[in-house]
Amino acid sequence: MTAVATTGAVSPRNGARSGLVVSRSYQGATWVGAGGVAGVALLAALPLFASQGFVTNLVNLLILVAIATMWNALAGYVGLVSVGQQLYIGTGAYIVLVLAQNGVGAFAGLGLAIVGSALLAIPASWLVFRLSGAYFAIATWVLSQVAMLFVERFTSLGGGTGAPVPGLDVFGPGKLLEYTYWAALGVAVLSVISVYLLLRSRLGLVLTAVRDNEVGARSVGAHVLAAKRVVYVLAAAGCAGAGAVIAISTLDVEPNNVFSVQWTAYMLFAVLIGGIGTIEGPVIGAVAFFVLQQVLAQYNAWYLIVLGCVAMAMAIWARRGVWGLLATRLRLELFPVGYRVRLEERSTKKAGGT
Amino acid sequence: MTLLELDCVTKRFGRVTVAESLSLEVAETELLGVVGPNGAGKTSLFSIISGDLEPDEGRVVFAGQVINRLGSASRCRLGIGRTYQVPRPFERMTVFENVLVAAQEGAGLRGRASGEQAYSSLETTGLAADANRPAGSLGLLSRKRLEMARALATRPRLLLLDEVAAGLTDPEVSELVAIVRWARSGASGAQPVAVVWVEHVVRALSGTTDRLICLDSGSVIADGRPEDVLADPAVRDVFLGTDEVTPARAQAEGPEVMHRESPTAAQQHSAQQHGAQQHSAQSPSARSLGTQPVGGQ
Ligand SMILES: Nc1ncnc2c1ncn2[C@@H]1O[C@H](COP(=O)(O)OP(=O)(O)O)[C@@H](O)[C@H]1O
Ligand SMILES: [Mg+2]
Repeated sequence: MTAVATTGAVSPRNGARSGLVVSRSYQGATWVGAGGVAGVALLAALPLFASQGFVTNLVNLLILVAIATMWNALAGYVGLVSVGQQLYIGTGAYIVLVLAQNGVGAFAGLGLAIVGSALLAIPASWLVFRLSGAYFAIATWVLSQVAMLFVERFTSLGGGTGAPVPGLDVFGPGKLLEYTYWAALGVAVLSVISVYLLLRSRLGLVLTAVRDNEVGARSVGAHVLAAKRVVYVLAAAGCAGAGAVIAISTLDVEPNNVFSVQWTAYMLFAVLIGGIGTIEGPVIGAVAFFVLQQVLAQYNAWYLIVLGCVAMAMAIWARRGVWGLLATRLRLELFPVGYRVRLEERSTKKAGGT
Repeated sequence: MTLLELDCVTKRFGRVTVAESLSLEVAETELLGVVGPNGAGKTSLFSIISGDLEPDEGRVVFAGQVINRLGSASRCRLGIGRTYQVPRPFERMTVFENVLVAAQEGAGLRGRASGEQAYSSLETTGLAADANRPAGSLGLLSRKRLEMARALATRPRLLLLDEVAAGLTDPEVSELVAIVRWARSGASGAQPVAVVWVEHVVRALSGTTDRLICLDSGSVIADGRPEDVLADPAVRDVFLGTDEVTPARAQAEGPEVMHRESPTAAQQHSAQQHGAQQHSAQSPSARSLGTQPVGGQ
């Protein structure tokens, strides 16, 4: 505690601190950024040389990246453990379907699905935010079920069996897959970037604080509920984008599929193995989950057993997931959102601090 | 001028009463010490003021405004900064980021000004050297400092300190006292603040505060100058059976300690005296009773 002898408590005020330097990015951030751009460009060019089967698989992976990223923003940062994000996957898909039935192209419908679902999420948040913890979780699931029962009442939407998305046959099968893939890539990349930009913003500092200690965040003046609402609406938008892509890639919208709680299981699993509360975690988790799925798919029931064991092992021994293990070992950060501060020595001023 | 006023505030958890029709005023720039045994309701009192706990009855008035319906974030923005007895650091953020949130959200500062405020709070509390460390890697003393730095960075008009000295050695306590004095004097560049300082360790408070209140079972059982309050029989009853009497007094009270009452009996006893003591808090003549020599009862 000797270092504290020079605290402000005894030292006079150090004048205007012109030497205070607050910086955001870390060394190597430009390389990571360049790598990211190159990676996305490579992914975008993939349909030009990869097999159709592979591209189809990647569509599913990109959907998973988007929804896992959004679930992580909810549960990993602001503590909203939703098990009802399929509500927005469903609304996204159904908005595309309804618009397509009325002559709007499916890909234009995707944009409207995102906006429409985000708008829907605002009144929905009034409802579910009245509850917290387990009650919140249950409420989100109930809401998704209510939405499913609601759309099933419309015979024009195919009732309980669903309906095909009209108008997709104007593209040839090859072209449709390409466009679908690019849409999926767009939704996934936008999801990650929007969460990253959100976390880098002033609100992001609040979200990170809420992640670490919600009561503490309130006590320093953070309007936590408003911050949660922003994340909830963003997550609705991202999941709706994913839902729209699902509708397009499966060529039809089935209520039992798009409103299935299985989506929540996927996003949850991806986030938990990747590392909750980081931007990188859900992306890596989605890839890991996807690879496991591909490798184990041939073993039927074993597939689920192994996935379950992996999830349990991670929960017990690696709470912070694959990314948590990697990041602390390698001191690595692909998406720098933090701040660094230092005092630049100025000869004109008395050296401040320690 | 009165900055904070509690008006007949009552809060119960089932059969536990943490505030019993409690009234209290804190003047602008006052340093008020609060002592009381474990479970007296000191932390709960802070939570009621800061908005973490909603009282069952009564009003909380801050700077002339009834704030009962405001959440803790809004109260912080109005100028109520608090620390937590059990520190609540944002563990995966750096120390600087911890304080930066407070400067941005609590004090409403942006950009450069928020960074300056955050860093100056770290300097005041002696944490500047740790600015870029993750808060989760801090030891207990530093965590308590961080609690203070965060509260200070919100630019409070009222600072609530909850047992920031507990568990610290004597020199560390002196340092902390110096920090509080420094922050309070307004020398750190901000406006002067009123401080309410809860401490189980009486020695941290006795030389520091102008006024001391003793809380027991959710009631103020004594209110006045520190030496008067500590000499008050009701206060000494409450603290008997604990090791919180100052050493000199503990020795002087040797014989008394031999037949000390059980804690519950002491509490009942103090509850009986409670009415009279509340009265003494209001009437200067009655308050002088408390200045009787320790051995005089
Ligand atoms: N949230 C709560 N629920 C139930 N009882 C509580 C709660 N918070 C505090 N208490 C009880 O209220 C009493 C006063 O607690 P507290 O205010 O922390 O006392 P102090 O800070 O003076 O030690 C204790 O008996 C404690 O167990
Ligand atoms: Mg306490």
